[in-house]
Amino acid sequence: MLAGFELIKIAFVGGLISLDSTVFGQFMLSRPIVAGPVIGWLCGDIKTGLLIGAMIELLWVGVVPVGVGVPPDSAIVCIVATAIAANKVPDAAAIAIIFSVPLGVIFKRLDIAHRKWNRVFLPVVENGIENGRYHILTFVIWLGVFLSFIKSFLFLFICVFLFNAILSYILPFIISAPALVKGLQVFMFVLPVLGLASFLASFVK
Amino acid sequence: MKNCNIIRTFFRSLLLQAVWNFERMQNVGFLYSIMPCLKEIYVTDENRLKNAAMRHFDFFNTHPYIANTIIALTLVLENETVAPTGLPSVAASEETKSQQIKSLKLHLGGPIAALGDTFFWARIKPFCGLIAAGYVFIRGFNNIGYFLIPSLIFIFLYNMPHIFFRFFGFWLGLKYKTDVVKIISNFKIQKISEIIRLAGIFVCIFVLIAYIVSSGKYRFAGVLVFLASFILIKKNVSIISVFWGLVIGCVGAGFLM
Repeated sequence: MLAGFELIKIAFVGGLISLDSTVFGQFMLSRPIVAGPVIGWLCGDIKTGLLIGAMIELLWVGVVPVGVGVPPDSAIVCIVATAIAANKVPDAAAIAIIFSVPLGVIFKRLDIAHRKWNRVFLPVVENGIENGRYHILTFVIWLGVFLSFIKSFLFLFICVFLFNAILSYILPFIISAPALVKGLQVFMFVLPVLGLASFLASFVK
Repeated sequence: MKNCNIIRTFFRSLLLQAVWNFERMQNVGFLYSIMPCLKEIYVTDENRLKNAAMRHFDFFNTHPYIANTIIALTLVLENETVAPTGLPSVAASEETKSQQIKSLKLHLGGPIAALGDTFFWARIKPFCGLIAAGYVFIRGFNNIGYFLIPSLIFIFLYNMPHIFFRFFGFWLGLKYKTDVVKIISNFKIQKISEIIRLAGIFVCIFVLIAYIVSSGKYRFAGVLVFLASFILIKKNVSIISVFWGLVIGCVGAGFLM
């Protein structure tokens, strides 16, 4: 069970990691293969983090942002899945991935709304330039960074809290059904194969 | 331009997309990056600084890694604008200069973005991800040793070309001015991406075979899923739909077994 402080810690580090995907630098620290082990290490279960990170990395390998298109966010999916699957039975990882994949699409919607909303800064900066107050530019940039961080932080906080509670509740029922466990094990095996197929499909002309 | 301002521009360009908006895209980040140098160039004339800032607040969008080249080019050209030209009307020559810079930003941004998208997003990123994740699945989870190794492999492999492009693009733009376009087109990026594409196919098939062979009782399921999802994705079914199909199929198979 996640304690309150641990939840804040995960959301804080997750928010910082997810800044890397568009706002700051793009050193690809926000890729699942990096974010998964980091969050896993934070939860004290680095192995689950690596497993989920590698799975989601392969699942997202064929997703290419082109031009101004915004793809579903892989970092959020990986952070939520790792946080809720950590320190539970191994089969929890499959359910955590199934639960958190839709979050990538929801977060993408949120991101698009945020980017549309960002235009409110344009007249503010133009006004500042007209009046010779150039420091407003620095202020707006760092405000933008801060708002992006808050967006990811709150989203992660709510999702990890909610999904962790749901997963802890339904996990005993799932484990007690052998057919379901078997199905999930097959699923965990074939998920990387799906990722490899999508990789090959995007690399073969 | 002073070196410290150029270094500041380089680090500020990391925040290029901080206020990415659908109306003018990277304009805020662009102006923020070049601001220290602009202030230095137009230190004597408040009005021209204002005009220059307004000019660079216009629409701008390109690939974040190669944007540094355009930033450097813009700065070099802006720096030339203030040099005394000796022409009869300084204002008119400056007007044409600023139009030149504007059209350069606009016309260079598109092709460079296309180049960056196909090279970094569509080739380097999946390839590095495949190598790191493939390493995890081939070695197996129990004998990986230190668990951060795949992440470090990924960061190292990916950021080598990334930082190279960021840094040398900036430097080349400052040094060679508009000749940089010729230099970048001499890099043979198309050829390199073709090599990466072939290497990617090779590594992918290797990982796939090693993974399926080592799996024992699930071999048949692996081959079946691979063929089905490859055909579906090639027919433009989105990977999320295939994912949900897989979830339902696997849970159903669990009940049938």
